[in-house]
Amino acid sequence: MNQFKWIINFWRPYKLRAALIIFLTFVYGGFAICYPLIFKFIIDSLNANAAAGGVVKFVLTLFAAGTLMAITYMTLQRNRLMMNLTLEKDIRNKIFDYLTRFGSNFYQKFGTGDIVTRLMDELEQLCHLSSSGIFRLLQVILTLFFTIGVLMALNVKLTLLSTLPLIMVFAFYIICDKDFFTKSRAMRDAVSAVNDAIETCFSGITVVKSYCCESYQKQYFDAVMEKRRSSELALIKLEQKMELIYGFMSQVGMFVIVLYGGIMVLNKEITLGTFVAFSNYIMVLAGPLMELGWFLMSFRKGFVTIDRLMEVEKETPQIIECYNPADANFNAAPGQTLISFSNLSFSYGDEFALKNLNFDIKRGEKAAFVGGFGSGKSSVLKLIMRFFDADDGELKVTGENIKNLKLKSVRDNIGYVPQDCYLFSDTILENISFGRAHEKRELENALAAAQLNDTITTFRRGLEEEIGIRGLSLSGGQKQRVSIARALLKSPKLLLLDDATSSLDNKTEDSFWDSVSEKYPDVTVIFASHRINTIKRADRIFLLENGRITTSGTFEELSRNSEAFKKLLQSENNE
Amino acid sequence: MSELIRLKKELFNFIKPYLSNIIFAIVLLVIVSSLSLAGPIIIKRLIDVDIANGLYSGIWLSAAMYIAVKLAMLACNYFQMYTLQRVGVSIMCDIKLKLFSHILRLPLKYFEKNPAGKLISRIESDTETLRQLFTNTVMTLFQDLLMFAGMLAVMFYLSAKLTFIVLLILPFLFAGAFYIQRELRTRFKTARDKASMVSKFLSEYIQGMQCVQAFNYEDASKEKMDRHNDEKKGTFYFAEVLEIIFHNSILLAEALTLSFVLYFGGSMALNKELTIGTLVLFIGYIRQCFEPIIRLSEQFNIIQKARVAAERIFEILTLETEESYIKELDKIPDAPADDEKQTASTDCAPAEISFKDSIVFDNVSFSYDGEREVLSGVSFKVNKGEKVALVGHTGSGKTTILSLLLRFYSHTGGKITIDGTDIREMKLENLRKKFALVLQDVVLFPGRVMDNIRLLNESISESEVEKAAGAVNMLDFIMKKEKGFQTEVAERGSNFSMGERQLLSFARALAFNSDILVLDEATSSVDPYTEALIQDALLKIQAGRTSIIVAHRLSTIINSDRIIVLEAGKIVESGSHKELLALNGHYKKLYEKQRLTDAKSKNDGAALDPREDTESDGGRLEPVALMAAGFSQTTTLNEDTAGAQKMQLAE
Repeated sequence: MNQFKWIINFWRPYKLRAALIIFLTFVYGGFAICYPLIFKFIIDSLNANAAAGGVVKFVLTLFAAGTLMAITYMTLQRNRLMMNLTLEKDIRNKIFDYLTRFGSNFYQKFGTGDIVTRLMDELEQLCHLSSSGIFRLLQVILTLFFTIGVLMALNVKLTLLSTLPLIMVFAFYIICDKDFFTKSRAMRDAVSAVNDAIETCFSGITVVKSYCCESYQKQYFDAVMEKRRSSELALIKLEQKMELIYGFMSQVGMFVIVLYGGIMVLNKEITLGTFVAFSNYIMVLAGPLMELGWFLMSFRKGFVTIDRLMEVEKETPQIIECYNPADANFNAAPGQTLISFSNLSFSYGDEFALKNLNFDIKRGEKAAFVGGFGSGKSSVLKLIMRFFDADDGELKVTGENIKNLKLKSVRDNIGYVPQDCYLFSDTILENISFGRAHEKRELENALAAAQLNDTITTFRRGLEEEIGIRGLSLSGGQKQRVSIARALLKSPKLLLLDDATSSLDNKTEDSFWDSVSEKYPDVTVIFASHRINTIKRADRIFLLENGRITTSGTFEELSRNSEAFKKLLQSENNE
Repeated sequence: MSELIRLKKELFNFIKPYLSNIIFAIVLLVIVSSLSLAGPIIIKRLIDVDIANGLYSGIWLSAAMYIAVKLAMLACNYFQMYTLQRVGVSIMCDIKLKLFSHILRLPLKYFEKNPAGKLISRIESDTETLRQLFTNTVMTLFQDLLMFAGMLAVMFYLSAKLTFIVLLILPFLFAGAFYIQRELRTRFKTARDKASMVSKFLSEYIQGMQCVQAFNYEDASKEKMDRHNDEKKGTFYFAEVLEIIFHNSILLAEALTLSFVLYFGGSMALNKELTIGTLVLFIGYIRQCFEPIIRLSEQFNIIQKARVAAERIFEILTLETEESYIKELDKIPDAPADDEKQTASTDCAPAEISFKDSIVFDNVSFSYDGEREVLSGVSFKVNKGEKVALVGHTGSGKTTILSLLLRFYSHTGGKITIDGTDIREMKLENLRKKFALVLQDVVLFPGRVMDNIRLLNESISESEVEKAAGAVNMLDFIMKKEKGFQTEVAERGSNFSMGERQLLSFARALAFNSDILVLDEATSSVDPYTEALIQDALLKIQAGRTSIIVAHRLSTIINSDRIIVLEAGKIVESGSHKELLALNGHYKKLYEKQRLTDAKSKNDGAALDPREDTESDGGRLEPVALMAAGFSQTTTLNEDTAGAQKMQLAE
């Protein structure tokens, strides 16, 4: 029932519209059943050889009812449609809101494709069900009740006799439903097996061709296909059987009317008009009954979708802000400690990444973290960004534990350039500004410092140039510089560069550092790098080995005193 | 028009085997249609004859007739539908099989332009559309028209005047229906485009979420999401509302027609020009005939779609297969077609697939597009037993050399010979059987581990597979799994680590026991323990074989007998590790950089990057992720062109 509550919550803001829809459903239900009744009156007055005026009156009523029915139904459907789409939008927005809060642990669990499927096709179907579906069900139930009500009013005995077989249709449907469910499930599985076979075969086509095993692939596909064929045929057979029995039952009802109703007309128990009304109603009745069964099935499917969406919501964000967090202060006096790690340890699941880290970075300093593979350089930067929280120890920003600070205010002050910079399929300008209001001068500074000006002029539309998915049309170095400009545009207090200049040549990199010092004189820089040219820029260097700081000092100090550093330099520099 | 005829002809070839079934279904369909006309006629008789004259026995007779007719109709309908659906499924399966086996034999070039996701929709959705056309559209269209004509005939026979009144409104309805359907098509197309924008947006932002968070871009991105959502909502409303209006105007038309008929019919009945039974029959027919009109106009859409689908299907079937494609490229006269190639036999003599002496590249050049040369003037010789490493920057043409050697592509200049025979003169299968290819991206197929190693080729015995797995240090991994070699590979091989997949691909190469190992070394890093196992396994499979390796790992490079250094499609240096270092040229620079990236890539591997996962898992159902997957696939197959493109853009 949780699922039901979940969807009701989304309906909450639209109570009025819900009320309107319910009202319209009742009105429409009333109109929808009046045709056969009017036929009855027309036939009866014809049969009684009444005056032509009587017939005209009924015909006019019929026309009026028909017109009103069409208008009501149109309004009803439009409102239901509006709600389908509105709910879809609301739910998608809400889940996207969750998505923006999740960290890498979430995205490791759910793949992109998986989330997108949940939020597109599945959500669309669910929302159709949540508005059109629910209210159609109401419509169907009302139609059934109204119809049976009218029939009862006309003649109880004939009603009971003729609708009895139809009730059995419903019972039969419920019996078949389970079988139907398993069979259609089997078919869906068979279909995805076929898709898998196609996908793997063709994405591995090079292997298939190089080992000359085309024929075996084909045999495999044949087998998968055969399974699909048989499961599909089984389903079709069941469907047709259900159709047959359902058709039979409704015809039995009609048979009762023809035979017993006919006799009743002769016995003057009912009028000819009533007979015609009955025969018309019984045909209308069969449809809704069939639909009821269909609803049962689709609601079950809808619940599965809701479960899958709730699964996403239930995940907890990796970083949870404390109660009443403070704004981060990055304005430590020059020379005072800005970032400090004390006894900090951190691990990714079982595998530890940083152990007992202790260091202070002063405002205005340029600090480098160097080390071999897996030494934990990137993790230091990610912790400062608070993508993760440390397991042990403290990370402080100007003396305040990062856990007590507003996440937004921390990140707002930091310009972070990750190793693998992500660009969106948008204009260059949008990728740099990232929705941030900025002055012209700020943009100019950022572009100049990131050494992007020359590149921009080569684009036909300059900053308005669209770059493809993930910046497809840019080279590695260009992407890196766009990503640097993005970080600089914030005029950050702290710049974190995670091997962010690796694709720049030495000359470009030198001009980058020079213009950063010139244009952002107060900025504190923490970077991870391999390159000597980059490392040399640091005021202080921390050498990381297996997640521990083994030594630190200036470039000269380290290259004089530390064997490990010398070795590292050598491997970077190569003999 | 001739195109259409050709389509019909090809379609007919698939239908032919089921012709008798189809004719049976059509006959049944005609019976069903005429029987369903009979219902209202019996009621009319009941009213006009039996009830009017007070004949109890007549009522019994009518009721019996009614139920008999309906039972016959239901039975016929059941057989007709079942036959038709069964034929539909069978034809669809036939087409799918044909498509699959044809695509399988297309040249590699095709797969680069058409990633697997796109091929699924070719094989899957297009055939389904075609089936829909066949089982639903054509048949219901036929039935609807039949019924419609039948009803008109009966009505006309009973009262021409009243029939004219019915016909008064219908033409307008038809015209309106077709107009609205056209409008609907364009509106729905806009709506669907908008929907795919939304899913594109989603997958892009999900993949870049860390970046979004780093820049506090959450609120702005939420606004963007909201905007996209709003647009999608708007376009869908715009399209669907028209559909609603259309359906309700049909309701209105029905009301209008009924009113006319009852008004005129009523006065006629009062004047005794018409019986009441006839009037009831008219009511019944009118209420029946509006549904087909809605259907009819919808079916026009499906016919359009199916035509496009059929065109795409047959377009694929007319593409030339690899053998004929290559024959034409080489201008070799067409040998008698050997369809026997498809049978699972290894009919070529071992002599043909064994490697005896040397591979020679003689002044080979190649271009993907006929303009830019990816390789030019490449000459080298690999002797039997040698270990040769190819090194160079991305885009230097290393991988291309492998592709040419296995003839995934045909070189555009020069000559490649194996044991003195031009590879263009070899049968494709014989050529490829000389090689064991191991690729960067290890592809795992659905099915058991056993089948993954021998690639379903049962001529390789289970013990041979086990031996191969043992030789590449994989036995432990496999035996640790609950079912050993019978373990099912999960979707996309997710129950195997990168390292295990690497080893599995080595086992594959070993099991096939080819003479020449061709390996595109993986750049992705694994933990040091697995790394050691991989290196050891690599040495083992190299033993006693000739090997040509696109090398990324230092140890592999250093262990080679000879290193060929490529730059921009040309060989710039070649020799042993020591010789090349002494040259102090390209190789030395590259070697240094390699050491760096070696270290760096390991570092990357240590940092958990969720994107790695999301991309490879990328939704099969989702267009953008598909593109991304397709793209990454293209880059592995065609690393060199992609690289070259990048180099062009770089300043």
